[in-house]
Amino acid sequence: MSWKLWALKKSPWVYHVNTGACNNCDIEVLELLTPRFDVERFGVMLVGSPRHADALLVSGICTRQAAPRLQEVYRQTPKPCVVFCIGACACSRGIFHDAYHTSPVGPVDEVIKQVDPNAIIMYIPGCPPKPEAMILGVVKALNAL
Amino acid sequence: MVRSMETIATGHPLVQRILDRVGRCIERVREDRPNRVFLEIAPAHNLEVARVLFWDLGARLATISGVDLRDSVEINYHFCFDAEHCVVTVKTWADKPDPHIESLAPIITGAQWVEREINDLIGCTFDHHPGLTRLILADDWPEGVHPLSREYQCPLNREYP
Repeated sequence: MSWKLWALKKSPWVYHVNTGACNNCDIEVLELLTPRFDVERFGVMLVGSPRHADALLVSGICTRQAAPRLQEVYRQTPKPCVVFCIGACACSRGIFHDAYHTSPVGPVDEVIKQVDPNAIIMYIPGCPPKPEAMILGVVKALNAL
Repeated sequence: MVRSMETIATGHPLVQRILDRVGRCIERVREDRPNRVFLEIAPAHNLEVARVLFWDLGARLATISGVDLRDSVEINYHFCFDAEHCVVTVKTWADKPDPHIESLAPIITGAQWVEREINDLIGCTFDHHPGLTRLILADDWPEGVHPLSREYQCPLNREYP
């Protein structure tokens, strides 16, 4: 495999995007970095810019205003990049399926695929997903790459 | 002129202080739970009552909530008296169609954004608001469509499974 992919798998740096979530999934993502689950021992680091990121952790239903901004963030993330849809809202909008003010394109994965049809997307369902489930999702995604 | 008072005898002492100043504006006083007062007023008096509660009695405007009843829009102003541990809600209404009510923004700056949000979502217009522009709906959202009003029919999203 290429050395870029090897570096990603050894230590994926993540950038978190909230596209209209209730913040519950965001709190659970934050818990991953606390000493109890401590994903920093796997090399996962939360970065402040998508330019430094290997993975995008996206939560939320993707509202109308968030859709073009999420696409811009995805374009700015260097490839190869894995998009993790955290939570039921990011996977398929969940209970907000027919809500007003959501992006007409679709939930997060449709919005990303509008920019890049070959995007690598990993779905982690749950409301919110347990931190163990998120770690399992990251491990499965990295093993599949 | 207070027309009906319930539980006023065992009510919060704050209620009497409010009635002393603006009793003629208040139509109804309710206190179903301790420390939770509801005052119903006519829409024309909302500025005066808000001025007395905020500036004279030192309350804090927590938020403003709007409810779309079928023939009118009910606007609730929630004032918190933190020192007395009491929350006073001032209920008023604006008749539909085309609900209008006087804006609190000239006397309470914190009401500006809340009233813009109510205007976006329910459609009640606030007169003399310094800048009643769109706040939380997207720029390409059609004008005049208010998602939390009763007339709005949310289209079902069935294009994707």
